[in-house]
Amino acid sequence: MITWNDFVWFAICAAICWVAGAILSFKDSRKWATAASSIGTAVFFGFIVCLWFTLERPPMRTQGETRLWYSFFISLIGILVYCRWKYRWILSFSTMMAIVFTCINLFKPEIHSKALMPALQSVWFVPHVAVYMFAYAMMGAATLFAIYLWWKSSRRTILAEEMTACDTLVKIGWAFLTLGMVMGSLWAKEAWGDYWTWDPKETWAAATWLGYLLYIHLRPHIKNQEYAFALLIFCFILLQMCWWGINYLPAARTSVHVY
Amino acid sequence: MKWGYKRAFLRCALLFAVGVAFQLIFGNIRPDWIRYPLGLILFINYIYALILLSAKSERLTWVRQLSDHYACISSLAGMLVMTLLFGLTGQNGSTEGFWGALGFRSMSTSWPFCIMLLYFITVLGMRAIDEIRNWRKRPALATVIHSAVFIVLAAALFGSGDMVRARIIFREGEQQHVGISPQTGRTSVLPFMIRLDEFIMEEYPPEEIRLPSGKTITMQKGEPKMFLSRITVSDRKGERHFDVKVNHPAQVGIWKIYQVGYDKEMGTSTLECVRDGWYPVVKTGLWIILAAGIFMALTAGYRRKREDRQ
Repeated sequence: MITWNDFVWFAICAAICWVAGAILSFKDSRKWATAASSIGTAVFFGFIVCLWFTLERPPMRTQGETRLWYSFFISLIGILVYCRWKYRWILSFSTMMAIVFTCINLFKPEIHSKALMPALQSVWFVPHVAVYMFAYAMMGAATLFAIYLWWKSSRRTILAEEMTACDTLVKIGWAFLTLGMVMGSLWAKEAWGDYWTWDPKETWAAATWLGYLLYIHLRPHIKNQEYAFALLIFCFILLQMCWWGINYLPAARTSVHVY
Repeated sequence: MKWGYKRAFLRCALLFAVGVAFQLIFGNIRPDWIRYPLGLILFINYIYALILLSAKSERLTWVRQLSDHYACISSLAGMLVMTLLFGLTGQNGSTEGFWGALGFRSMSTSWPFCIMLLYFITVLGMRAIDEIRNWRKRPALATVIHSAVFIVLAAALFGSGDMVRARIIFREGEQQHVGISPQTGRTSVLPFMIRLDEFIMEEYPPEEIRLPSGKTITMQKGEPKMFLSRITVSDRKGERHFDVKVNHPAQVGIWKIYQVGYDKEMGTSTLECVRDGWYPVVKTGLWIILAAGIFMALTAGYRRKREDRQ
C-alpha cells in the first residue's frame, strides 16, 4: 500500500528527473530533456494514482492534495510549452515551481483520511477540482512567462510572438477557469439548490475570472507591455487568494470551501 | 489617457455615485423585490430595449459608446473592483459603520453593486447583439460566449427574486407542507405534502493513520459517509416515494427537494424545497458556456495563425 509516507521517495525521484530535464534543455538535447521531464511527471502521476487507490477516494480533498495536482500539472504544462514553443528556460521555471509545491507538502504534512463528506460525493467533484488545478497551473506558467519577459524587456525588445505565447497560456487558463466555475455552478445546484451564493471562494473566483478577462480584452490595446505584465501578476495574486488565501481571511470564515 | 477611456470610467464613477446615493436613500434592495410576473416583464422588455437601441446605434453616438471597447474595459474594471470589495468586506448584513452604510456588508443586494452589474450586463448584451447582427464579420466563439454569459447573468439578475426556498425539519413519521426560507424568513406553503418515512445514516469506521513522524493517530468516529431521507410526497396526483440525499435531490414538478442537514441528537432530518423557475434558462446558458469553454481551450493557440495568414 502506497501512503503519504512514501511520497518523499516519489518526490525525490521526480525532482531528479525534472532537474535533469531542465539542465538537458540548456544543453540543446531536446529529445532527452523532454524524455527526462516526462519520466519525472509520470512518476509523480504514478504516486497520485496509487494514493487514489489507497485512500479509496479522489485525492482532491485537502490543500495538500490540491498542491499535488498543481505540481503535476505545472510540470506537464512546462513540457507542453517546451515542445510547442521550444523555449529552453520554461522547464527550469516549471521544475522550480513544481518542486516548491512538492516541498510544501513534504515539510507541512497534513492528515489525509479516507473520509469523503457527502457533499463531495458527486460526479462533478473530480472534473471541477482537476480543471481548476489545471487552470491554476496554466496561470502559474503564464505568470512565470510574464516575469521572464518583464526581466528580459530591460535588455531587449519583446517579440510579438513571445507576447502571443503568453496570451495563449492565459486564454487556455481562462477557458479552464470558466469550465471549473461552470461545473461548480452546475454541481452547487444539485447539491444545495443554488448555482451561485456569493460564498467567499466564489467571490474570489469571480474576481480572478474578471481579472484575467480584463487582461484578455485589454491586451491587444496596451502599448506599454509592462502594464500587461503587472496586470498578469496582479491577477495571479487574486488567484492565490482564491486558492488558499481566503483560509486566512477573517471575512471568509463562513465559506463552505474552507478546507 | 485617451478620451474614450476617461469618458467610460467617468460613466462608471457616476453610476457608482448614483448607487451610493440610492443606497443611502432607500437602503438595501429587498432580494424578492422583483418577482414574477414583474421580473419576466422587465427581462423581456430589457432585452427588447437593447435590441432596439442596437438597431439605432448607427445614428445615436451614446448608444454606440455603450458597446465600444472603452465601455467594455470600464465595465469589466468596474465589476472587478466591486467584486474585490465584495471579497474583502465581511458579509454579515450589518448596516452600521462606513462599509455597512454603503451596503458593502450585504453586497449582493446593495445598490452600488447591482447598478454596476446592470451596467456590465448592458454593455455585454449590446456587444452580443452587435456581434449577432454582424455574425459574418465577428469571431463566432466570442459571439457565443458573450451571448451565453449575458443570458446567464440577465436571468440571474431578473430572476433571483423568484426563487422560493422552504426549509423543513422532520422527525421520522412526520408529515409537513409548510417551510421557512433560511434567507428571508418567509413562510411558504408547498403544493404537496411530505412525509419522512425513514432517515438512514452511515458513518466512516474509525481509521488509524500513521504519520511520517512514526506516531499513529486514530481519526475520531462520526465523519458522515452518507445520510438519506426516505420520503413520500403526496398531492392530487397521488403518492410518490423518493430517496433524497446530498447531491441527489428529488424532483416534484417544478420543485426540487434537497437533503441539507440532520441533527443526530434530536433525530431530525432537514430538507429544503426549492422552486427556481428561471433555472432552465440559466442551465442552458451554463451548458453553452461549458461547450464554448472546451472549444476555446482546444483552439486558443491556433486562432492567431489564421489571422496571420489573412
